[in-house]
Amino acid sequence: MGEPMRIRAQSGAGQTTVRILMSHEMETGQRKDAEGKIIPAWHIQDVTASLGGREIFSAEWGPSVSKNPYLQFIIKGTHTGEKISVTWKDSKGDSRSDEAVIL
Amino acid sequence: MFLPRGASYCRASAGLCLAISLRSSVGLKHYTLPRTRKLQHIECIKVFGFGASCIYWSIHNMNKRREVLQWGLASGGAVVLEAMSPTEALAYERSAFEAKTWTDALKLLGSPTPIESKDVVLNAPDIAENGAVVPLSASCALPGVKKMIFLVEKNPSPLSSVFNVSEDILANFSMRTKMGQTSNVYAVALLADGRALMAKKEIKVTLGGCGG
Repeated sequence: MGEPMRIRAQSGAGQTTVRILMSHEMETGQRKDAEGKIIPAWHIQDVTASLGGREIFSAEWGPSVSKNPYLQFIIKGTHTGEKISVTWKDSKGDSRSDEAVIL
Repeated sequence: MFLPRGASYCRASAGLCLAISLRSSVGLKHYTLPRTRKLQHIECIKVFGFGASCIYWSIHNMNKRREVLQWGLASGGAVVLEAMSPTEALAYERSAFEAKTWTDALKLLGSPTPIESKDVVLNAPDIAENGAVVPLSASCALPGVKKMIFLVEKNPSPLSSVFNVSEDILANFSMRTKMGQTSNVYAVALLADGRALMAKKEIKVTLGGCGG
């Protein structure tokens, strides 16, 4: 269970822009520690988002997505007042869900 | 067999259920295994299933041809289900993240060789001072985009991310990727009609973002 995500979703001009900042180490499995041992990969693999309980977005990520990932996608139409829920799952099986109300 | 004679449908469905339950119980276990082992496990299950069918066939071939046919049909059905299982599709797609060239990664995602097109727009900086955080955004205004894929050619694993486009969202995504060195970056849009269109941009990196 990581730190909460920061989600900002704003409707306007017939579309809704969703911006998400997640908190995750996104370890690549390429780096070595002070003793020269490889630090094992540990990163977000799956991200899903749903609007009013219906899944509208999904993505699969590799280890090359930057640390503390930023994500933006655009929903068709205005959805002011509706709830968007975002979930990620990482390669250790950990996951986190957060919600935000669309402005 | 141990089932009452004449209960052919019963037998066939029992075979099917057995195969499915075996598949799903093992499936749950290997879901938590490291990615590379997933595919091997799926192969093992298939080989095991095929072997069991063969043994059954040889034992009962002589006197119970009808029964064998029923069991055979049942396991055949199970194999078809097996091939369509979402876990396997996921494992297959996951292996694309381990591909060492960007073209191999695309092949593993089921994409044809992409054609460069002005319909895909890739926004990225010309020079990235910090390779650990390179902002990318891509959009495609054509109808019927199924997936948007970001690749960095010279990264140890070129596939960075895959975004699925549903009917509720636009094919327009922004994210930040790591880059080990100066390289071409590709945004590939997979269309419902089977075409793959791409946009390409070279990004110069002054400080790599992969090593320690």
